[in-house]
Amino acid sequence: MDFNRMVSMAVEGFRDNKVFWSAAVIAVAFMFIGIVVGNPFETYSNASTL
Amino acid sequence: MSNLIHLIRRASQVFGFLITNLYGSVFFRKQIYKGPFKGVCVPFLYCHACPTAVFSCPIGELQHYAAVHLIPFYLIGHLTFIGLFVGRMACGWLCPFGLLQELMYKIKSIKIKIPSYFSYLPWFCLFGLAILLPFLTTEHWFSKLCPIGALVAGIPWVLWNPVNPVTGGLTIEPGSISWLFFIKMFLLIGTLYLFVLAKRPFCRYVCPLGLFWGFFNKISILKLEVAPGCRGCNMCQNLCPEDIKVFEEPNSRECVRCLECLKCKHVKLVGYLPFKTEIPINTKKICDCDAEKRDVKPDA
Repeated sequence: MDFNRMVSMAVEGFRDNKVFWSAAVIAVAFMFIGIVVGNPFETYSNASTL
Repeated sequence: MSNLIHLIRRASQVFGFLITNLYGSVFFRKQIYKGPFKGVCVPFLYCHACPTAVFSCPIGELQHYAAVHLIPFYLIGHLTFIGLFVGRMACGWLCPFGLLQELMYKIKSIKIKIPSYFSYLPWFCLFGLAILLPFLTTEHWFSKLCPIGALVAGIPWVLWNPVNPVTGGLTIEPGSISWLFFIKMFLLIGTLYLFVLAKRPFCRYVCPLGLFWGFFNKISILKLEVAPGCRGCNMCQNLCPEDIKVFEEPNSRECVRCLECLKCKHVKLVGYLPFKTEIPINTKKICDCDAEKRDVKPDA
């Protein structure tokens, strides 16, 4: 498979997977916002195992 | 080498169990780990209150944020990101309870098929028990009833019950075990019994995380495809730990991407990034379709 064909297939794949890429951008944005507001550094206590 | 995928998956499931239970210091400190790793969740259900747990449970975190009326941005982004790449693959390759269910299903007994209307139960577990009720009552209702929490956290703490070095008292004070604990035990026994009777019932009819990731199976980078020529011999369904008819719906919401069905020569694993390409999996290809084809009598 030549390089030009691979690139054109990749561009085509990008166009065909709009839902995937939209969701990926939203996911990255959410992770970024989460880190900014300190989500991953919040530990919680859950004493509901009894 | 025909079972290579199966062996790697089993090793991966054991790895998932081990990586979650790295906190050996609990036997000296007598308290659960509360360090920075508890802010990170594992990509499967595993109670953060388990004595040896290092990470948190995604559904536990979700309940926490619902209870404190905050939006778990990082958690949603993190889980969505995983789902977009591999769909429910973590359920099939890492979840220790997936492993437990698959092993218990091997026990010889009568086997049942759970009616399909129970597939609405994960919706109740996710939106009712893990989001709405914690939001309204500030209590973690899914955790209160979760059989996994009962098995890996509730029972070990009650049986061990060490003296807390900080307070000097017992970890579980006498009389602190409520009626809810016994309901949990009842649910746990019922769930374990179901593990013997049906294929991965917890994943299909309870797990809220599986429901969330199930939505990504149709848009994730990894997908399954069924090649033309399949005559529906049901071999894929027999191989599938989730009892899915792969030839009817290869990217079903219930599929945990265990890849066991790739043993059927008509099922293919396809990657969609950067472009669509079949991912070669070296496994012995078997299928009953050809045998059925031979058995079909020619039309008169």
